[in-house]
Amino acid sequence: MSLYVVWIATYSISCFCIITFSFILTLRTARTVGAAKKRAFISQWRPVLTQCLTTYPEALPLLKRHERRLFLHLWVTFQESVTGEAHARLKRLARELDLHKIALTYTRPHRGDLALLAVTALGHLQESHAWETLAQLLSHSNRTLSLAAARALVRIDTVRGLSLVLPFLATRQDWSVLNTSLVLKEIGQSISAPLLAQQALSRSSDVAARLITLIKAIRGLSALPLVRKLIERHPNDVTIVCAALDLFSECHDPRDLPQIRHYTLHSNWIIRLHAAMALGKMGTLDDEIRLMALLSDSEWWVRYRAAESLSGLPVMTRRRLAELAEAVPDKSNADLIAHFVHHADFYHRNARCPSLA
Amino acid sequence: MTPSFQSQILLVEDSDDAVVILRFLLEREGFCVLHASDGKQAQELISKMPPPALAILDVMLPFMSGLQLIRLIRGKREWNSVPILMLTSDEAERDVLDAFAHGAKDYVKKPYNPKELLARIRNLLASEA
Repeated sequence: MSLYVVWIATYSISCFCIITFSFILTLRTARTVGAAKKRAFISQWRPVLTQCLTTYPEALPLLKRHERRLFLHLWVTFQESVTGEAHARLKRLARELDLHKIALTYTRPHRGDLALLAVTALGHLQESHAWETLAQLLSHSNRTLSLAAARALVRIDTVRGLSLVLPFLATRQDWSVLNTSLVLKEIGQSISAPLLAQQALSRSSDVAARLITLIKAIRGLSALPLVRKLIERHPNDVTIVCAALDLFSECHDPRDLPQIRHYTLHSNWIIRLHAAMALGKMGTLDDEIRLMALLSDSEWWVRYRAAESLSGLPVMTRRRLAELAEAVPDKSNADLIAHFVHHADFYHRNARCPSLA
Repeated sequence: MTPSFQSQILLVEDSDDAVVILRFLLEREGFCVLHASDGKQAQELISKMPPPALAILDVMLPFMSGLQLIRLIRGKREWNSVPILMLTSDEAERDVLDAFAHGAKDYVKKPYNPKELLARIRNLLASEA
């Protein structure tokens, strides 16, 4: 009986080892074969794509079925690296290889990275047949995929794409400002910024502030008149005013200086804080006195940003800042300025005239 | 300026595909390309090799940023006059300003037009000649 048990155990363990070994061997073989196929693909197709950078190839190799995914990846990488004539030649190459049809079959969200590549490729190829598919992806929960679809739509048809994408820009909080700004840059700030500002005029504070932040991300100078109108309507809305002050400081339009200076006196300290920061970016030497006054603010953050902004004023020097620190009667405020005497980035502004630094 | 085959370019870029593209464009123009894929490798090359005709640096690199590399190059006497061209992303306005402040001579935003890139390189080399 015991011999029988030993025999069964030995047999089972042997079977288990053989199955495991076979499984590992199969996986390793599949991996080696996959790597060899990838190498063969790269050695065949990378020269074709690099040639497209300068001239269109006379003859193209056959794109095999198993190479389609790899080609999609390589093509998108090349397409996103260059502009100009090379860009057009790469598009011609993709069309000739039916990449637009191949990409359309990969757009289902469950395909993960492949779907993302396919959507990106369809945008670059301006494939109008993908319109409905891409429009549906706008509301998909995967934010990367939905944003890629938004970008592809505006690449295919700017005007139609913008009308589709605009409502999502306001409401999809999960779309990061940086990545959303890439969609807006595809459209061009002169077109997209006023439309965003127009939307902001009729939206709630939070949405309006998000739209203004997007305008800031694309440095939408053309939206400034509408944003000025917006803060005229809501002069005490903290969310809107702060977003607008940040935008003004990014756009550097001197017509906004009086408004920024006005807000340094606002009753809400968060608004005063943003006004102080904006003055640091676009204030003039005349604002030294305003910023010095903010050093007596009841809020520490306002005093800190005022000190920082003093160091950011044009032609401010380390020596002048040290003099201001000495002139401040309050020791803790003097220390705030002294901090920037040592840490402010005078180098960039005074690089051409080292004696100033 | 038509480059000779002796014109070496140090290329510091971590993306393999970007290197393939740049190498192709530069070698086609007759340059000899020395490539480092991260800050450490670049540092090693800078300490060993004679100064090249030009250095092309990506801003974002593993181990050491492109800006740190500019500082390193400018701190080395023999390399002090090597013109530096930075490769930056479209969103990196601050990087461009920093690069100029640290001593870069020019920059190209990615994605770039190959013709424009080569024209800028030729200009840099001509101004240094």
